[in-house]
Amino acid sequence: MCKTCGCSGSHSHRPFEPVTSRISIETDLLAKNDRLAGSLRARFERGRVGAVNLIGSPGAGKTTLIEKTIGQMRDVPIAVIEGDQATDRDARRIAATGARVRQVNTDAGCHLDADMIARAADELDVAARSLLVIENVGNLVCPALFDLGERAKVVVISLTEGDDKPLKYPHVFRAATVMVLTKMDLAPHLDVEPSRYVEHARQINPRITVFPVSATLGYGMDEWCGWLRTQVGDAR
Amino acid sequence: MTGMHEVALMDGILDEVSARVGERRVALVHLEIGELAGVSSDALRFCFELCATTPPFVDAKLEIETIGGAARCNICGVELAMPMLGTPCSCGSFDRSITRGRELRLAFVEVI
Repeated sequence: MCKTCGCSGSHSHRPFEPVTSRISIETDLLAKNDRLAGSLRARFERGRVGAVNLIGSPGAGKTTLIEKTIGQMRDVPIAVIEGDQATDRDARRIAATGARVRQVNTDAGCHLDADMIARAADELDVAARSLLVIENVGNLVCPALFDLGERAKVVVISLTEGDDKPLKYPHVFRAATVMVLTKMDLAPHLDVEPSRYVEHARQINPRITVFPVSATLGYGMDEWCGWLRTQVGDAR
Repeated sequence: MTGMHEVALMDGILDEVSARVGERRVALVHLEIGELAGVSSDALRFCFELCATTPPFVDAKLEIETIGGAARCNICGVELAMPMLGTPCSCGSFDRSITRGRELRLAFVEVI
């Protein structure tokens, strides 16, 4: 008989040492977000809604780009979801253009996630065949990881940020389909070479499409808006 | 620079584990993190220290297995290590498809 516990087995117990057992879990850390994003994507596709996820540093010119885009695409219904840690300042700027908009405040959060977009999209009641522009929280790091059910991620980088940013923050450039290089009108005042931004971005993502723009002067906006139009309607 | 998306990931990990272990105490949480996944293992450890302080996680350890990055060149076809994004192939091309290193997995836990 066993001397430790009195059981009838012939095994030996090691008293006072806890016995651990392994539970296999094998789930992806992003599984929950990815599942939600998948159902959002299906919902957007059913409505022929073109959702684009704009990611860039604070001050890259994301909101100005959206304002000018709305002004130039009056023939397409546009809805906007604005992500910021705090305030509804961006939503008010967008509302002033006449577009439908919802502000999402993330408080301490550094990125939007699929659940936030699902709730904002419910409130917005996005019309079929709309362009849904999601402006992520100003941050070149965290938003790269979180699928929002979009058709394309767009990284927005301004000419004032330095051409090494694609190399220093590569994940978002790898995840993006398109890079918009903003504030091109400032080129004469800066000691920068715009082609270096493109070269560095393509070292991270050789297939990234680039639109150099000046939203303020209208330069490059036709090409950018032309691409956005391809995102609305049936998936290609 | 460390992005604090690791806080959100750790929240998800602890929720998932809590749901799976029932009444048992967690001794070890084992993650597999790819080098090219965009997630900092140090930041995950920091978040774990901060968040895993109440049952079932009291005294639990976090173990992170790093999965090395690798990519196949779309020009010359050779598959080589890729420790960071933007590392060119030995042929000089940057056009490479990642084959390994994007893993972000909660593999298993050990319970008492």
